[in-house]
Amino acid sequence: MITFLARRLTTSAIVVLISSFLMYFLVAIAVDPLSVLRSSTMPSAAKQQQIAHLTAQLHLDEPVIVRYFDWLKGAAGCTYGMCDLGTNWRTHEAVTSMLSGAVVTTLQLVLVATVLAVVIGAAIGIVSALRQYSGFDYSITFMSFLMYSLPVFWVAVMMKSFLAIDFNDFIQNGGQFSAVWIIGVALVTGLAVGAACGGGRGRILRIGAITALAVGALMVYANLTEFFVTPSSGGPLDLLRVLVFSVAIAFGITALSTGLRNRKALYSALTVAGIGAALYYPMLYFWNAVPASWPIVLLLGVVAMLVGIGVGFAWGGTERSRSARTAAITAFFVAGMLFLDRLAQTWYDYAHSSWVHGRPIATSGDSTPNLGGSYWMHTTDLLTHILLPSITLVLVSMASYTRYVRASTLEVLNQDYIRTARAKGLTERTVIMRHAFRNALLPLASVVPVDILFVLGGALITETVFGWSGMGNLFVTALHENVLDAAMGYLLIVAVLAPLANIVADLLYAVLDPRIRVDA
Amino acid sequence: MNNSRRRRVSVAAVGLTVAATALAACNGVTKSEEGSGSSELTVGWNQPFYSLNDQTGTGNNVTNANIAYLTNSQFNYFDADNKLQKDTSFGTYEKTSDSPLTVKYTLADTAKWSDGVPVSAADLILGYGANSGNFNTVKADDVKTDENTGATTAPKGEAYFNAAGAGANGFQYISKFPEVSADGKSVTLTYDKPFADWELDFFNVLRTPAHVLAAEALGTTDADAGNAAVIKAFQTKDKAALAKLANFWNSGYDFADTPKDKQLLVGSGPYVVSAAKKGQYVTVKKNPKYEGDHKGKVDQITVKFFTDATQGLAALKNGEMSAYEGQATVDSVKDAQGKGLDMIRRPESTYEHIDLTVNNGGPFDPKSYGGDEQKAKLVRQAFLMAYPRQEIMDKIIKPIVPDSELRQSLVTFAGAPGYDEISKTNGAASYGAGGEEGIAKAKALLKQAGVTKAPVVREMYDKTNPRRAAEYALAAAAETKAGFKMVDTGDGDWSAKLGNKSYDAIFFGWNSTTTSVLGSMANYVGGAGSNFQGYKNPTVDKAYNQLQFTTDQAEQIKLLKTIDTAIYGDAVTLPIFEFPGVVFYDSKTIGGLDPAYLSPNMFYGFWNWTAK
Repeated sequence: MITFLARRLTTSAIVVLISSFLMYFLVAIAVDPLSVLRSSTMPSAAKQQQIAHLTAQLHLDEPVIVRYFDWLKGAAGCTYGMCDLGTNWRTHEAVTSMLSGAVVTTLQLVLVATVLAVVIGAAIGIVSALRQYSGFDYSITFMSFLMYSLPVFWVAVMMKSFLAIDFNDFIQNGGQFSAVWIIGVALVTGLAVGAACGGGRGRILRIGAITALAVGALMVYANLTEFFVTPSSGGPLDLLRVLVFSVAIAFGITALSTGLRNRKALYSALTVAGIGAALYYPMLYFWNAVPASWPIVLLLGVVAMLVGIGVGFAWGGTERSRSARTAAITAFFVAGMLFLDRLAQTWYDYAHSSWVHGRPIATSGDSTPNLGGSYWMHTTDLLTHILLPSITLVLVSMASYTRYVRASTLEVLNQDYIRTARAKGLTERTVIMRHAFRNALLPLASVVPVDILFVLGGALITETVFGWSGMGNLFVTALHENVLDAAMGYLLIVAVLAPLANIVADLLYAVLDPRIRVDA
Repeated sequence: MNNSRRRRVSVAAVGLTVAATALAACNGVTKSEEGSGSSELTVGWNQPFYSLNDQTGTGNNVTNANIAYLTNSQFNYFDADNKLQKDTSFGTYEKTSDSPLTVKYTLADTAKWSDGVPVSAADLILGYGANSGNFNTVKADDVKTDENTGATTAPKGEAYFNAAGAGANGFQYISKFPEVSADGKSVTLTYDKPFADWELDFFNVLRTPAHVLAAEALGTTDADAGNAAVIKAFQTKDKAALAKLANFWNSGYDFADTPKDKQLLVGSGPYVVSAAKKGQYVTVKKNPKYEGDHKGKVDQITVKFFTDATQGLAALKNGEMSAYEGQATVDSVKDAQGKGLDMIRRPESTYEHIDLTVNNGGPFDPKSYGGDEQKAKLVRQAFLMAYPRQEIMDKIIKPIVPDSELRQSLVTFAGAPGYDEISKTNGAASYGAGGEEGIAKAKALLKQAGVTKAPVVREMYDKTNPRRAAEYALAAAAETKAGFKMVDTGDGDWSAKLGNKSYDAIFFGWNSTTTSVLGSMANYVGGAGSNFQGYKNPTVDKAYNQLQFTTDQAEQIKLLKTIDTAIYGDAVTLPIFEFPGVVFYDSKTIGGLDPAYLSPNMFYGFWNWTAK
């Protein structure tokens, strides 16, 4: 293990050195800090003086190799905490401080997008594998190849047009679905869900019809309550909605986690749902009294899960740990429901505030300038800004996960042990959730870390299109403005991350799959 | 848990819910959030802000100048018609003598910094001292960057103000230290020799308060003492103090996020910077201490940054801002029309021009014809006559700005003093505007010159710029018809190759920021810094030299006319078009926009803006 790490780290260091040299060389050739001065009309004496000044400042009269080693000397300091990646000569800002701001922005975006893409992609992949060669499977395959081949910038522009401008118009006009929309959306979702559930034609139609009716009803409900204008006002109806959804979540989680036959688990989950609904009003008073912040919210999420575990143990049964697990997962989602409902109560104030002017979904930037108000306003603001870029990134990166997971699920399902599990009479749920699911996800461990790098690359375009000042934007601006040091800051981080992601992927795989050893 | 306990727990839970619901009494537990209640405008610009001192070599950028324009007052400014207007609520100036040229600047009582300190003589002395270059104790090439701090420090203890305007303004000709009045309200400048653009010397210069600089660099926190210290430092040429002042002046005002040090935000204008976020926006709000004439109508203006026009237009359409000035292209205009946005379309102060190289042994150099000046000139004339200026205008510029016109002068522009008079008599009209007529004339001229083999012309331009690539295609087609053999030497790295004699013709843009009569001097005087074509004409050199020290406007116009006529007569260069400028806006949310030809373009007259 240690020799493996040592060997990999050494080779990685060499890779970073060589690539940084190559990149420095190439960028140094490409950028010309003097270009603006040269083509300016200032008097010759002043121009010569400024060109001389900049040349001296950036050592442009020295060979690139000498400048590279100068840069490397500072960059080497990063290994012992004396980082000096140079300075942006235009703004006099240290590259390290430029990076620290940009990295946070980019991480927000990339993390949200990656987590969503993996979760949704994996879920779709598994379902698609279970319904292999069905209409659903073919549609998903078609869709994922379509998404895979879409250019990010085009998707981004479409997003802005439909999800921001048109959606904001929709909200400004009272947020009412037209009859055509309701029927259309209900039919499409009905068809998709029916196909996903599979079975005979009768079953598909039955499930599809029920789903279509449910979706239609939800949309009518949204129209009647003006959901998109005031998604929640903290009234009894909203409490009822939280309760209904919590119970649905309890059933859903139990069905996946232990199966509905395990009554103790079901009761645990339902109890948690009840507790959640009971805490609805007390929590609203709580938030009035306590100014919210991310640490408090996350802490409460953890407390909710602990309560879930407690409830599960209290219900007991032969396998109390299963009840506890089910209840804890349910508790997490129920707490999330309460959180979302509280957030939704700020929606109207946010959308109609003097900063937002009734058009909440933003097409650009990572926040509304000078936004005042509480944590809830700022969280809503974050969501309205991160929505479009993350959906864009999710759309284009999700496709590959769907394909990976579908392939590996099919492979796992054909293994002998799955046949054995089925032969001994386990339910289909147990076979898939307990025996197939985890093994099918294994390949993701080696794909995701490396893929994050690609998302980082995709973020370069996404950030530019959506006006986020993250890493990608920093790099593009640096190239435009001929700032070598800033461009190198970005390239260095990518150069370090690439081999690191590969090492992490290898280690992760070894930890998860006992058949793999990393000694060598 | 036994059954009875379970029941008790359930009953308690239900009871709690019911009680809480009853308490909540339907709606309204959650407190609603309040808005800001002030009138606000958001506008967009195409490049992020990074320094509040736009006078330094590095901070000298239109985007910084815009913010400085919102937050500072000055003696004069250009209006939308390129006329120099005076802001007497800030101060007045008068020329008290012609020989030696003496100008007295007097600050008004209403001129105040946003921290309440009156604008005083010290601020003018700082503006003069920093921008003149006269107080730099080192030459530019002695200045080295400190590898560890990265600051552009001069050698230790030496002073170097990295001023963008040094060497261009008239301050360089003031060696006698300006006279400061006893009340500290006026300063008298005495020029060593008359300077043509003296009226623009303090234009856009007063950005940094002397007392703040004294506090930051010298540690003098008292405003009066600080002002006195700054005057003294310049007067006595105190190297140590000047070095500290220069260091801070060069880079201390560089920030893109709201700085911790609020002193940096002190300005003398109608607005002060209240918040900034790197790459995203700068917000200015009303300066409560402002007493001048340009009081704004809105409480707060936020300038957002969109480098990409598509992005900016989407945000404008989505109501995230009310006006945006970005790259004006056929695509962005179409995009805006499709989105139903309002536009103000007009030419801007940068103009494209075609230059012929006369010293590289190419087709336009007399050397190629055994020193036959006349023959080379005929070839040049032929080339310029055939240049499809009208076609370029019609196909590339008019779709963006429909009422664009060909510019008819090399030294001045429409609206600047004397343009009408100069453009009528300078010979510009004789070049026509290309087209079939131009090509026919060109053929005749080539014949007259006795050129039998098609002259080979290597034309340079910025190949990475689609508009310029399109321009080249049109030009190459017309010139080929006229009898030239065109070679495409377009290059993304064109600016590094300026003046290296590798091309025979080049087109690119010149930008004017003021109506300065000397703006074109560096382009056409023999051997000057921006004269990349090897052009030299003693008449032009002499007239510019004279112009530099002429303060009488009628005399200036006469000299400009001489220069313009001489250059046109030599057939070495022609203006092609003025860059199209478009301000996209939403008339439902903003009023009072009146963009200017010169920088700060859209921001001119911000005090008339209203939020609807």
